[in-house]
Amino acid sequence: MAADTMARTSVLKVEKLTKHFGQVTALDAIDFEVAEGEILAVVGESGSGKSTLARTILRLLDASSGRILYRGKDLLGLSAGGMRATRRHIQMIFQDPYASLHPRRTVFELVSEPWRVHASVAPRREWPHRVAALLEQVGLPQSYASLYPARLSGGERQRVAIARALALRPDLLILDEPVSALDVSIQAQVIKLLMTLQQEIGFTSIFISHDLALVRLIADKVIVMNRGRIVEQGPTQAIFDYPRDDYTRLLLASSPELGEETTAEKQEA
Amino acid sequence: MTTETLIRPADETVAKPLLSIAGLQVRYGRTHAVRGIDLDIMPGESVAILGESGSGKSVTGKAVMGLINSPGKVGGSVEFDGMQLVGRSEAALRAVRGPGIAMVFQDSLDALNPVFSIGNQIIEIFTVRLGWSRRQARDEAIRLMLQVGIVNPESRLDDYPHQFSGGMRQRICIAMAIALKPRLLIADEPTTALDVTVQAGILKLISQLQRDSGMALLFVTHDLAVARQVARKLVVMYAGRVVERGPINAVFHRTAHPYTRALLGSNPGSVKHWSELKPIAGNPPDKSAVFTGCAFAPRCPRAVRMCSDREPDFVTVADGRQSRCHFAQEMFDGR
Amino acid sequence: MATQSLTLTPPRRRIAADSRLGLLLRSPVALLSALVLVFLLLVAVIGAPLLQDLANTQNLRLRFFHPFSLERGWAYVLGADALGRPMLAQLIVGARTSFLVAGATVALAATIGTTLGMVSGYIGGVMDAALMRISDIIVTVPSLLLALSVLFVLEPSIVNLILVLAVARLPIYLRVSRAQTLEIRERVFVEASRALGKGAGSIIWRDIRPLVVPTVMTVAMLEIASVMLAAAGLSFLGVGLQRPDVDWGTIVSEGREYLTRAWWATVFPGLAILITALAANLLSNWMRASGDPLQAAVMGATASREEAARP
Ligand SMILES: Nc1ncnc2c1ncn2[C@@H]1O[C@H](COP(=O)(O)OP(=O)(O)OP(=O)(O)O)[C@@H](O)[C@H]1O
Ligand SMILES: Nc1ncnc2c1ncn2[C@@H]1O[C@H](COP(=O)(O)OP(=O)(O)OP(=O)(O)O)[C@@H](O)[C@H]1O
Ligand code: SF4
Ligand SMILES: [Mg+2]
Ligand SMILES: [Mg+2]
Repeated sequence: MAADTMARTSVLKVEKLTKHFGQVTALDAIDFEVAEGEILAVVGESGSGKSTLARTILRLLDASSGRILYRGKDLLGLSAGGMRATRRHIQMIFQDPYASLHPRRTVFELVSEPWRVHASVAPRREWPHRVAALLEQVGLPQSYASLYPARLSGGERQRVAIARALALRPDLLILDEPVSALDVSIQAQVIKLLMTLQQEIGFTSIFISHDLALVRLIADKVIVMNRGRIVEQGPTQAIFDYPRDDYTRLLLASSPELGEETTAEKQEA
Repeated sequence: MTTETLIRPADETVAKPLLSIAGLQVRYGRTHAVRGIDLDIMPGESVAILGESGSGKSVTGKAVMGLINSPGKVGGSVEFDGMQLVGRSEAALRAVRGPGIAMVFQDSLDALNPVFSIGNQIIEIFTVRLGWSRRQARDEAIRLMLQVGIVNPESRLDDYPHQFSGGMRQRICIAMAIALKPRLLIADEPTTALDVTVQAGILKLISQLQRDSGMALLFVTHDLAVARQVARKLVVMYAGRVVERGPINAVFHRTAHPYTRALLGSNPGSVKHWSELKPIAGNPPDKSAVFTGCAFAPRCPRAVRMCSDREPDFVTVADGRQSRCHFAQEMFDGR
Repeated sequence: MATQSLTLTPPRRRIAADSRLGLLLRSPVALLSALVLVFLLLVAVIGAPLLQDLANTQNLRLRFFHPFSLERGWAYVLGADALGRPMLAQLIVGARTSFLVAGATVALAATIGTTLGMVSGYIGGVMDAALMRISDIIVTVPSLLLALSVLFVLEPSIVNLILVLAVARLPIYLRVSRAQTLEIRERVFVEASRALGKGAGSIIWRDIRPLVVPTVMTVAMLEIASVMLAAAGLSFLGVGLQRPDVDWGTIVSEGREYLTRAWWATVFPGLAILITALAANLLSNWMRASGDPLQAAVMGATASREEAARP
C-alpha cells in the first residue's frame, strides 16, 4: 500500500481532523490520505461521523481543529472567497436525491447552476449544448431538461445530481451514500454510471457508504469509522479478508450477503 | 419464551392455508397498483415479497389488512383462516387486526404517536383490546419490550418515541405488532431505513419470534439478500403482479424468470467487480398503463414478439416453482 | 448536436403559471373571489377619475336621500349622505383610495419585510437579533396606537398613512419570511449550493426567495383586508384621510353619526370593506392550498400522488 500511494500525488491529506458538536465528538483526530485517481471508501454505522467528515472537508461545517490539505494547500486557512473558488475543484453528491435538488428548478437550470456561480468555466451561450452533453453522459433523455425534479424517480434525480457535480469537471468528488436512498435495482445503474465516469474522467473520489458489498466492488482503499474515530484503514482486499478490528468484523458479519448460508437455511439444518 | 402457547386446530397444519389471496387488485383512479395477485401462506410459513419500488408491495400488505382507504378500490379475494376479508365491515376487520394479522409499517417514525410515551402506547393495546387492568398491561408491556431486546424496559417505559433511535423504534413497532400474538405478521421493509448492524439485529429478532411463536410471516423488501435472512418462500412482484414464486434458495440458485434474474444481476453482493453489475435496462412501468402482453417485455433481454402480444400464464417449472414467462421452462433448464 | 441544443433552450416558467390558472378556473369559490376583486379594482381605476367631482358635490336638498331609487339618476341609487353627496359615486372614489393605500402599504411592507427576514434568517448573528428586537417592539405597541400617535404629530396625508401602516405591518412579513428561511436554510439543496461555491446573496435570491415568495403572497393577500380595516379605523378615529381624499373608512366614520337616520351611509361602505376582505381572504386561502403540491394534487392538478408527496 505504502509504495503505491507514494508513487502517486496526494490529492487530499487530512491530519488530526477533529469536530465537536457541543459535548459530542463527531470526529476524533482523523488522519488519512487519498492519492490521484483513487477511490477511498468510508464505512461505518449510522452516526459514526461519515457525513460530518464530508461536510467538514468541504467546510460546510467548521472544523474544531486539524488540517485539510488539498493538493498541498490547507483548506482551513483559506478565506471564504478562496474557499468558494476552491469548491470548483471539489464537488459533493448528497445522500438523498429527493432533498438535494431545488424543487422549483428545472433539470436544465439545476445542471447549469454551477456555471452561474463559476462563470469562467462555461460562457452562457455554451450552456445548452454542454447540458445536453452532460445529460447524455449520465444517460438521461434530452427531453428531461425542462422537467422539474418532482417528475423524476430517485435514480433519475441522482443522475441529475451527478451531472451537476460533473459540470465543473471536479478533481475530487465526495459521494455521501449516493445510492442508499435508492432501490437495489436502481443502485446498480447509478454505481455503474459513476464508475464508468470515474474511469473516463479520472476524478479522485471519497465514497461514503454503509453497504459493504458495494464498497468491496469499487473501492481501492477503505476507512472504517466508529464513533468518530478511524478504527481501521487499508486496501479493500485486506480489510475484507483479514479484518483486524473487532468493529470491522462486526460490520462484516452484519452485512447480508447472497453468497453466505442464510439464517433460514441454518434454521432448517 | 412465553408460557401461553397458541392452541390451534391440529388439522390446520395439513393443507389449509392461513392466508389465501386470489386475484387481488387495487386501483387508485387510473393507477393500477396491484393487478391480480395470487398467494397462499400456510400457518407458520415465512414468505418474502420482493419487488422494486412502486411494484405494489406495500399496497398488497395494506389490502390484506383491509387498510386501503378511498379512493382506493380493492377487488379479488383475501381469505384469512377461511374468512373472506374483502368487503368486510370495519368492525369485523378490526377483530382480525391484532390477534389475527398484524403489520409493521415501512416508516417506524410515522407509526408511533409522538405525543404519547412508548409505554402508554403498548399498554393501551392491552387495556383497550383485552380490557386488562393497567398493572397487568404494564407488566406485559415490560415483558414484550424485553422480548424485542430493549434493555432496562422499566426505565424506558415513560420515554417518548423521539428519545429512541431508529432501530429501537422499529423494535417497539414489532413489539406492538406481536402484542396480541398474531397468527400472521406482515413486515413492510422493516429495516430499509436502518444501517447494517441494526438491520442484522432486527432480522434476527423477527426470525426468532417467528420460529418461537409459530406465527406466519409475510416480509416485504426490495433486497433479496435481506429476504434470504428471514424467509423460506419467495414471491417476486413486478408491476403489480406476481411473476415468480418458489422456495427462496431454489429460486436464488436457479431462476425461472428474466426479471428475477435481472434483479440478481443488479445486486452488488452477487458479483466480484462493479463492471459485472448488470442493471435492469429501461424504466419501471407506468402504473396507469394497460398491458396487452408481459409487463416486463420493454425491459426484458429475452423478449420476442409474442411477449408483447400475449400475457404469459404461470408455468410450473418444478415442484412448488412457478414463473409467469413464456420461456419459464427454458430459463429454468438453463437454455 | 445542433438539433439537440435547439431542444434545450432554457424552459420558461409559463407552464407552471398556466396550470395554476387552470386550477383557479376549476375552483368556483376562488374564481368568484378573484373576479370580485378584479371587478372592484377596475371600477376603482376607471370610475374614480370620472366621478371625483360628483362624489364631492353637496346638495342639501338631497340630504339623506333614500337608496334604491333612480329618480335622481344612477349616482344616487345607493342614496346620499348628510350633505347630499351621492353614495355610489363616493364608494367608487373611495375604492380607489382604499385600494391604493392598502396595495401600497402591503407592497412596501412585504418587500422590505421579506428582504430583511430572509437576510436576517440566513445570516443570523447580531443583525438578526437586532431586527427581531425591533420587530418585537413594533408588535407590542398596538399598531393602531402607533399610527395614531405618529399621524397625530405628522400631517395625515396618503403618503404618511401608507408609511405608518407599512411600518406597523412590517413585522408580519419579517417573521414569516425569517421562519421559513430558517427552515429552508437547513435543507440539503441549500447545502448543495454552498458546496457549489455560491455566496449568501445568491443563495438567498436564487434558492430561498422562490420558496418564500408564495407564502408571503398569501399573507399579503390577507393583509390587504386588514390594512383596509386599519386605515378605516384610523379614519374612524379622525386621524385618517381628510376631504377631499376619501376612502371607505372615512365614509363609514362620517356616516356613523347619522346611523339611526340613514343606515345606508355606513352600511354600504362597510359592506364594501367586508366584501373585499372576504374575497381577499378566500383567495388567500386558496393560494395557500394550491401552493402546496399535495393539496394541489387533491384539488385536481395532474401531478400523481407520488410526485406530490415528494418535497
Ligand atoms: N449539526 C449537528 N449538531 C449536533 N450534532 C450533530 C450534527 N450533525 C451530526 N451530529 C452528530 O454527529 C455524529 C455523527 O453524525 P453523522 O451525520 O456524521 O453520521 P453518519 O456516519 O453520516 O451517519 P449516517 O449513516 O446515519 O448518515 C452523530 O452523533 C450526530 O448526532
Ligand atoms: N394512497 C394512494 N393513492 C394513490 N396511489 C397510491 C397510493 N398508495 C400507493 N399508490 C401507488 O401504488 C403503487 C404501488 O405502491 P406501493 O407503495 O405498494 O409500492 P412499494 O412496492 O411498496 O414500493 P416501495 O418499495 O417504494 O415502498 C405506486 O405507484 C403508488 O404510487
Ligand atoms: S414473457 Fe417474454 S418479456 Fe415477459 S419475462 Fe418472459 S421472456 Fe421476458
Ligand atoms: Mg450520513
Ligand atoms: Mg412500500
